[in-house]
Amino acid sequence: MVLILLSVVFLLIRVIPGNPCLFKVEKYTNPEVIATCTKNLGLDQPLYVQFFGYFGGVLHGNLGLSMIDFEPISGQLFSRFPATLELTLCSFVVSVVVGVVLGAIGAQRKGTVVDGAVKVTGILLYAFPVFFLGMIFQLIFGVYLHWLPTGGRLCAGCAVPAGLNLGPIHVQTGLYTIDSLLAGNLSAFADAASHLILPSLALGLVISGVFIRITRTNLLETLRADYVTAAKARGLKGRTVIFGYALRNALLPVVTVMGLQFALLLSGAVLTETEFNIDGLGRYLVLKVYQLDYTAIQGTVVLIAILISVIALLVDVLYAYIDPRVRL
Amino acid sequence: MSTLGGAAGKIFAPLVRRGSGRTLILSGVAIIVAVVAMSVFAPYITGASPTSAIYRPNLAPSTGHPLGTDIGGRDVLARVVYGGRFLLVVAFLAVLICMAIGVPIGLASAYRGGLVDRVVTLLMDSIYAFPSLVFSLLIIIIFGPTLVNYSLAIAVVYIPSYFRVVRSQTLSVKQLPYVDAAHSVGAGYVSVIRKYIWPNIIPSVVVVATINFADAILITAGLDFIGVGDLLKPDWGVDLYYGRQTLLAGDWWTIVFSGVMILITALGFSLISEGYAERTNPKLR
Repeated sequence: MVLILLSVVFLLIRVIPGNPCLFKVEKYTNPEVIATCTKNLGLDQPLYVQFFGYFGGVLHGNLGLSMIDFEPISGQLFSRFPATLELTLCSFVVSVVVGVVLGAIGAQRKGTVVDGAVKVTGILLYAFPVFFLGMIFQLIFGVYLHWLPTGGRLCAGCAVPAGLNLGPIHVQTGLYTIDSLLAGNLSAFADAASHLILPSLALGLVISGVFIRITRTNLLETLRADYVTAAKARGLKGRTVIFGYALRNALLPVVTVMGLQFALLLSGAVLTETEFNIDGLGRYLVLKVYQLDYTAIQGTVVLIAILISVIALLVDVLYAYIDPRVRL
Repeated sequence: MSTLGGAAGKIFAPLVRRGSGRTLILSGVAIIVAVVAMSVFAPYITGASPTSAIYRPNLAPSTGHPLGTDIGGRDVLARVVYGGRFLLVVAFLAVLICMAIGVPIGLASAYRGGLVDRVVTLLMDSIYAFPSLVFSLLIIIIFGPTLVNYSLAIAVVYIPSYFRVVRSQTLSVKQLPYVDAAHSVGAGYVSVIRKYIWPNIIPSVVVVATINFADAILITAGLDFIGVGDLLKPDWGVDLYYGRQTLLAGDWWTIVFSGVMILITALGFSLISEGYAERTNPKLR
């Protein structure tokens, strides 16, 4: 899959009638300068030479140099990646918790007003543009209430948390919340966490729409099973039956969908990062797309494709953990 | 013609006949009709132009400007009323393109099977698993932000959804006895697909198409919000792009109305989709 996506993107961006060289030099420069630049970047070679040269590098873990600032792409990507990871992980937790809890409540009170409200909430959240929800949060909690910061990852001028520093062992994850905890700096942790709340809530809530729906549907189906009736017949409370018996089985399809939701989560992350000025992969990609930085765009696509494959693998493992009938 | 009549029946019957999902569908249709009417009759709703920046910028709502003015000194009411035209046309075109390509490929791939099916499925799954917004963004930047390119960008990321649904449905219908029976009495592939398989697939295609509408609106608005599109056109996404710059000063009117319009439009299509899904899938009731 990584290969297919890479080939598609590789060919697509080379169709563009532009050239990264045009961005670096002043407009209306001597055509010779541009020609030299094109040659230096190897853009004058036939497409297949460019492709296999690049692809060979990727297999060795070498994503090449940026065509704009000549820094290694892998370095640029990994300095942005933690911000996106932090955001997507927190949003993911929000979406699963909100989705499963609301979905379970809806299924438990099937056919009542509560159930109807849960259903409509699910559809409404799905239809919410994530950047608009983010703006509303910024407006309410940032501008009017002054409770939470409206952008960035840390307070202005604050130092990046150092991480764990034990002589030779130096651990710095780039996840500011974890780094600040490792460094034992609680005020930095509070700061990093407070910057995470609004974007994660906005993105998580929008994604949770799908989880609400799937949890509700599957739980309803599971509740018709014989063993649930048997548990009820033994006089167990409704809540015990749902959370102790039915939910685990009903969650199997939810786990399956989680993998696919991750793509939606990354799409949302691009918008959320733009809205909240978070310097993550999404903003990096938007910037590089503007600059026509071929290698950077390819590198980001490779990273996203690898991420999605890893998530798919994790989902399979998780599936086997939840459902003992599945043997890996 | 009989099959076309059958298709229309499957699509419109849930509107008329009682049954689960009808309330959802009708409320969705009402919303969409209202939004479309507003966009079509925009000039009759407000005399102000959505593009002429002739007023004082960032005015709060008042009698002169019921919804205020934006950072460029344009009337927000006019921007809201005109702002849906681009999105709706893009979404409509995108859905048409997707259907025209996704459905036949899904049918053919499932019907033929074998290596072709496997290769096409792999390609479709790759696109499906990739973040749609990122893909559309690349396409828009590469080919330029014209209306047709927007539709194409959305079509490319959404064709796999049609393909998957149509393919899986075709696979399950294909092995039913009456399809074998039709073949055994000498019916050709085309007529089997048209008469026996297609009518079974219509409801699922309607579900995908309506949710495709909602997502197309959301993706297009998202791309405009990022600022890759034509920033001069009246468009709800562009409004949010500009509104973002005055948001922290507390100018809520520059974003709230346009944002709510995006939300309502996407909501309308999602409601219709959910309604049809309940109709066809008893598990959802």
